[in-house]
Amino acid sequence: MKKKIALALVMLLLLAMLAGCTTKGELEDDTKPGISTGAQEFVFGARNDMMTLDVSKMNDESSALVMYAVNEGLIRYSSDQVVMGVAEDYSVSEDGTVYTFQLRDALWSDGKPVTAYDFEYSFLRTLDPETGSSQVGSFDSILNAKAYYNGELTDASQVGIKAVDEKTFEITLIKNDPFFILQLAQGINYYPIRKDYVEQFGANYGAGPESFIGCGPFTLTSWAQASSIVMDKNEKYWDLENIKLNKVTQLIVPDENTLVGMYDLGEVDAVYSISAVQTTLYPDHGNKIGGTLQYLSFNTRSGHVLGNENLRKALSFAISRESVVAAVASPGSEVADSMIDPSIFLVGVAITEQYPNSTGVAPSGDVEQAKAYLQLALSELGLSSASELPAITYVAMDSTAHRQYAEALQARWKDTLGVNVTLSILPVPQAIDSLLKGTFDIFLVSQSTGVNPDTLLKNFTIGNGNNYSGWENQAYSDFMTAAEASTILVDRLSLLQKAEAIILEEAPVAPLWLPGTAYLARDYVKDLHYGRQTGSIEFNYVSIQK
Amino acid sequence: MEDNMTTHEANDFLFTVEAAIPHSQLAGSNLSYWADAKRRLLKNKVAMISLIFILLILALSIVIPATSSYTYDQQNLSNINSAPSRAHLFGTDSLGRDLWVRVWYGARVSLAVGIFGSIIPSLIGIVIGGISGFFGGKLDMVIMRAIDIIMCVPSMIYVILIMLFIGSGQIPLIIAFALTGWMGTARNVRGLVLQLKEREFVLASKALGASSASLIFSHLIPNTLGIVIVSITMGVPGAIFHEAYLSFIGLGIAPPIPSWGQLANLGTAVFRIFPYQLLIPASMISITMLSFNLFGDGLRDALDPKLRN
Amino acid sequence: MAKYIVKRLLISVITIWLLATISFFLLRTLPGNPFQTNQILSIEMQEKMMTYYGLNRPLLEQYITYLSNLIRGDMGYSLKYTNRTVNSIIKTTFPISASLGLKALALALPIGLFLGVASAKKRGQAVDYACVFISVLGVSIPSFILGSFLQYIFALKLKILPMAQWSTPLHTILPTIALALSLLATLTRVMRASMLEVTTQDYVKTAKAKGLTESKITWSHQIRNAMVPILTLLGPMVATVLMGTFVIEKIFAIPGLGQHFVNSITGLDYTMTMGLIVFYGIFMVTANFIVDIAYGFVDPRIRI
Repeated sequence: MKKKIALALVMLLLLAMLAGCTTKGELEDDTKPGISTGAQEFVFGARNDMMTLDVSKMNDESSALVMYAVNEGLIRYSSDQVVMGVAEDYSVSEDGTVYTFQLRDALWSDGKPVTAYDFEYSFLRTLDPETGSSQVGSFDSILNAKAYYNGELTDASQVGIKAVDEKTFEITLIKNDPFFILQLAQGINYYPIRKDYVEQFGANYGAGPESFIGCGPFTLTSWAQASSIVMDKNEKYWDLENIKLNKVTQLIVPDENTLVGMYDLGEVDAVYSISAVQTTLYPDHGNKIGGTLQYLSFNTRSGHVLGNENLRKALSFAISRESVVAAVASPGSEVADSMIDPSIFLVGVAITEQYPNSTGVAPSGDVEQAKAYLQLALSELGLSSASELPAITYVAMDSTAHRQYAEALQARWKDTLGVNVTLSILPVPQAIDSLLKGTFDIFLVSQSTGVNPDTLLKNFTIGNGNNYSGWENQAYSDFMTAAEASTILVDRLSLLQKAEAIILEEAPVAPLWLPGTAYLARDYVKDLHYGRQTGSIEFNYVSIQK
Repeated sequence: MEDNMTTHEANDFLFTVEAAIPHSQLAGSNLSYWADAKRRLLKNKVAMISLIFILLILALSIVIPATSSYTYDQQNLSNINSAPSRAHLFGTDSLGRDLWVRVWYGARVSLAVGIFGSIIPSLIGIVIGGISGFFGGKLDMVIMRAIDIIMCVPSMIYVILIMLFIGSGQIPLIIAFALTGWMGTARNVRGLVLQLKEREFVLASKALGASSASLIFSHLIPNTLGIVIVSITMGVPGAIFHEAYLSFIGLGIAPPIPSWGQLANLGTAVFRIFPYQLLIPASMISITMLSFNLFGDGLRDALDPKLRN
Repeated sequence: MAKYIVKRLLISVITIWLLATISFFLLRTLPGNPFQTNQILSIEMQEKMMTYYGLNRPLLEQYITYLSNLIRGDMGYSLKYTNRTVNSIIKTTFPISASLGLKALALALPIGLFLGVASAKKRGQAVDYACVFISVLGVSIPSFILGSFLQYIFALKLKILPMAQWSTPLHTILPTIALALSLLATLTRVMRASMLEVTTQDYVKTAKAKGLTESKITWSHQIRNAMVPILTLLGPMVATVLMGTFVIEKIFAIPGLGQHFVNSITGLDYTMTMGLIVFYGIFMVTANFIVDIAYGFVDPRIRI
């Protein structure tokens, strides 16, 4: 009897499985990725899913990538040029503090007009402490924005963000900032939000296509989490005639081998980014250059051996940046010898040419010089050989590239200087925790260089929360304060140059390289661009020509 | 969730299923039992070939890194990803390191993690499972529910915690395995002890006034030893697998020290461009697994008197 | 029996509560916070976010809040997918993992049992060796390698199956095989062992003595009894497999639950991780519960 029950249970389990198999059809959504034909349909693959469609909370490039297509700001970057978006035109007051934007007759994808109030609502919502945005820092140059998001000011009408009327939007800055317009064009957090949608969906706003509306060239049709994102042409878009694609599909494929395999099979027309090693198989890959600087941050706090300047220099001079870039980094990577991105242009000339600075380290390194610095450091520390140095810990975030950089540098220091460095590879939150708490000796920091030459430099002032190396130099901080206060661009840049010279001389950081990004696209995909400022592929103007 | 969990558990499970308890014999006849088991093992060709493979890999992992002209961390950035050649028998990796040395050094690491990562949790499991089964009652209930709970907490949390407090390497990894891998063994040993407790010869000793200690040492432990040895043998591939899995998700041994899991993981990334970088460590893993599993099977057959017919 | 079930139910609830408690505090001992991604936030901003999400409040207070929400079935919003509740993420991803897991089981179970029986019946013969070899091979290849090879052969070279993604039934073939192989291997081994075990039992000998035919003995005595351990194994196996596997899901780009298990922990998405642990715990406890009860029916020697 009991055995019969057992048997019955087994049969039940089997039946349950069969049932599971027959009902599986319901579980699958019908977003079958279409292999693009000549029908102006573009399919690309990326490794990460977007996180949210809420521009107030967005802080990752995968979400930004979609937002560039399904929504639009006042102005934006397209193929590395600033172009007008929802704004038709703008004017700046004489003192350079008030920006007035004239909005064109743009429509949301449901046909309602895009108004200045949508921008006002969006900006103020992001700044509202109740929203919990981590991106409020990008509004710092706007009058009273900081006081408002810090909760010191509760009256939103005192913030320099104002819809004058339906079609006029006004931003008041604290002071003249020549880079503000570029910053506005770059940031995804300056996009408009429809108030009625937020009110309708509350905390779930932006969780899917039904709880989001945009005014960009495409509308979000479906978002199957961690699987695919489908965007269709937005028939209400103001610049419809220049949009060729009818449909864009993003497939999310976390594994790179799988992704490039799908590219080989023609299941995707383009791949968002590929690692350096894959480029050997695809000589015709595209490259994105600049936009990010990777540098070593040395912990200079007391109790850490890299408080010794000569030791820091020894490590920096020993590195052959050239050969690491050639062996490990993506094609398109460039060796860096300063803390300013040379691809930041000012009136047509690279900023680093007008205001040059250098660490003085040759791309292939300078082992003799490094050894000389090491000797100086050892005698200062009262040691007789490098093997007596206290333990040096290199903390790295867990990723293939960061791992390889760490291993390459570790071996180089051991071979050339006899300096032993221990690697500690940690998941991202723990690695950054170590960086912020100063429990590392060496950390490879990868930061966006932005549109403003002081994006990185401003972090190293005394007391700055991003001054990871704990380096304190009064003269440097003074130059930076003066540069920030300066309203004349030329003065400001020359002050930045002086400050940069100090940081490069004392070497609390060692600029390494500006990593490139390689991506793949079939040759029938026309006008695909990988933007330096947007940091992602720009497909709004793509056409398929088979 | 975790890939190897089912196999892991099933491996442990096999021994309860077969209940390889030498039930016919009393402690006194142990000598002949072991001699018999040894004879039967030696007769098993598959098991012996597997054992030879295991010993060979062990020997090579000691000899090759010690005698090679390269070291596991010596880089040559101008000779990266070169195919197998006379100078580099297994080629070089993406940082120009000699893979022949790295694979054999990795064998050291993986085997150490595999062997100790199996023995230590098994021992912990035996002690806890033994206590649980022998004393029974409330204690047993508490231990069993504790096991239920610990098994549901993803081991990744422990692994990350241990990495942060002790650092990453073989020893932290073995500690992590020790903390997370004993539950299966404990469950099975408990089951065995529960059954053994009711056996005539134990009941007889008890009736004769034997103490708990003497019951444990002269009856229960000897009678579970065979199963435990098999369990440890079968646990080795499980631990090697687990290390490979952790490497796949970016945890585990700190570079530049190689392990098979690390090498296979790095190899997967370049699998379509430089297939040898995956094929070599992957085959090493599979051959080792195969050897340990087949040897474990042989061992089990040898130790299970019921299969003597 | 009813008393036993009530008691077990109570214990199950306590188990889940303890699991949630231990995981909650264990998770919080991990340094770092969910707001740090590749784009490093400044310390001030990090603190602001921690305050906003109430993560700066005393841990005990947070724990009580969490627990009272959990009792009401509210596991909160994910800290990464900021507009989605943990419940909704589990609701969309679990059916996918479960469907893949069931398919793999549906494939592995009959074949595994058949091979196990065949192997045991032909013990020591070529069939047995072949089956043992297949089953050992199945547990000897790491799934990330097996998955990559399957893709390479069937999708890239032969071009008969799609590479990845989760859409048509055709897309599920490769991941199902990749997942099923290790299950199959396990089932074969257990079934073989179990069959050999029952062969030596008295009732089989009795049946033989009674002159029953070989096939009758195999069917009505051996297989039926050998299924008991399979049933026990199946409980946790089903529970684990339905939860999804990180490796297979990553390689085949399947939007299942398995990826969240790894990503939420490495990204320190507290609410998501807790939600998954509790969900998994409930699943496991239920599976063990059912198995224990079934076992009690089947084997009177095991007193419950």
